[in-house]
Amino acid sequence: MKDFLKRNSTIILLLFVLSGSTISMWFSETTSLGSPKDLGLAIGSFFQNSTNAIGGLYNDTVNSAQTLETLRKDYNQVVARLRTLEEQQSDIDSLRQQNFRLGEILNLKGGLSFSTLVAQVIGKDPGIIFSTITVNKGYNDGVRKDMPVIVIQDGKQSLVGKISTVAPFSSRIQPLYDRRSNIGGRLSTSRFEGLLIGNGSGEQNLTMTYIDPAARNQLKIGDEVSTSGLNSIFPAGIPIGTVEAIEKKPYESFLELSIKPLCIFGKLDYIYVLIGGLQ
Amino acid sequence: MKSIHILVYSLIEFLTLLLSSTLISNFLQTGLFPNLAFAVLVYFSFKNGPSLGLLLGIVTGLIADCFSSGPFGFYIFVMSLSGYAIGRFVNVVKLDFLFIPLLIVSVSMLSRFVLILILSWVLGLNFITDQLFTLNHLFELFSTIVLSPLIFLLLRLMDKVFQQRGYKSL
Repeated sequence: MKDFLKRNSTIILLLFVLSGSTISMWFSETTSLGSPKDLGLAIGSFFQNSTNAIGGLYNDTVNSAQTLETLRKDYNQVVARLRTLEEQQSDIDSLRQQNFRLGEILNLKGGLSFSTLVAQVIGKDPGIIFSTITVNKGYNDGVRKDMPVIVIQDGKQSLVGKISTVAPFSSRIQPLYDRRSNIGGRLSTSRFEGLLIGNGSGEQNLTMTYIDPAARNQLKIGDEVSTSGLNSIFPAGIPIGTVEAIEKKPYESFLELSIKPLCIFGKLDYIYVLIGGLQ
Repeated sequence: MKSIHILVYSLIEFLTLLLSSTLISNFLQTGLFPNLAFAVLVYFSFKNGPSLGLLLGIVTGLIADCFSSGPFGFYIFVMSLSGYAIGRFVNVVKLDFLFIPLLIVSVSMLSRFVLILILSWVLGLNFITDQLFTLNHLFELFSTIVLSPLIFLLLRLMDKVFQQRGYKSL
C-alpha cells in the first residue's frame, strides 16, 4: 500500500487537486458565500495595489514634462470655455427657476444626486476569459455588494457596472460587458425597455434585447439608452450607451439592438461607487 | 529537485501574473495581451517533468484565481492539469530556439482551449464557452504562440545566470 502511494503520489495529488478545484468552482457559482473568492480578492488586490502604486510613480515622473505642455494648452481652452459658460449661466438660471416650479407641480425631488465614493482601478483580469476590474476601496470604506459603479469621462457620466465581490480594502467590479451581466435599460426617446447583456469585451458593443417590436418605427441610430431603474440595483437614468444597429431576426418575437457603451473601459482610472440613496 | 527551484519558479509566475493584471493590462488598453503566465508554465513543466509541472500549476492557478473574478478553482484546475500533462513530455524532444517552443506552446494552448471548453460544458458555465469563440481569445492564442520563442529565450538566459551562481539548471 505504502509503495503504491509512493509510486503514484503525483497522480494522487493531481486527482486530489482536480476534485478540490471542481468542488470550489461549484461552490463559487452556486452559493452566495464565495469565501474563497473573497479571500483571493483580499490577497490578490494587496499586491495589485502595491504594483499599481510603483507603476503610477514611474509614469508620473516620465510624463510630467508632457503634462506641463498639455496643461498650458488646456488652460487656454479653459479660459475660452469659461467665457462661453458665463453666457450660458444666465440661461441656466432662468431654466432652473422654471424647473423648480415644474418640480413642485409634479411633486418630484429636484437635483437627483447620490452619495459617491471615489475609487482607483488597481487591477484587471490576468487573462481574457473573465472580466475583472479591481478597485482600491472595500468593505471598510463602505462598499457593499451590488452597489452601482459609474465613471465620468470627458464630462459625461456613464455606467461601468456593479460591485460583485467585496474584501476589507478592495472590491471587484462586474463591468457592463461581462457575459454574466444583465441590466434593465430604457431607450431615452421612445421609453421602451429592454435587457442589456454583455459580450465579453470592453471594445465590443452590448446587446439590448427583449424590446417590444412596436418600438421599431420609433427607434433611430444614435438614440440614448439609460438604466430603467426597474430592478433594485441600478437607479433610473444613468446613461449606458447609444444605439448603433437595429436587428429583427425573423424567428424572434422581439427586437435586438447593438448598443455602443458610453464608458471607454480601456481608459478607466478613477470610478465612482454609488454608496447611498438620494441625497 | 530543490525546494529553492520551486520557490523561484513560483516567484517568476507570481510576477508574470501580477504584471499581466496591472501594468501590462493598463498599458495595452485594448485588453488584449498574450498569456505570459501559461507560456512560462509550459517552459518549466517541459524542462522539469510532471511532478514539478503539477506543483507549479497549482501555485500558478491559485495566484491567477486570486486575481480573477472567475469561479474559484478554475485556474487551479486548468493550470495543474496542463502543467502535469506538459511535464509528461520531458526529454521527448530537445529544446531548440524557434521550432520546438512554437510547437510546444501551440499544442499546449490548443489543449488548454479544449480543456476549458470541456470544463465549461461540464459545469454549465456557458459564458466561458461563448468567450472562447471570440477574436480576443484568438488573439491571446496567437500572440502567446508567436511570443513563445522570446519567452523561452529569456527563461534560458535566466537559467544560465542560475547555473553560473552554482544552482542546478532551472
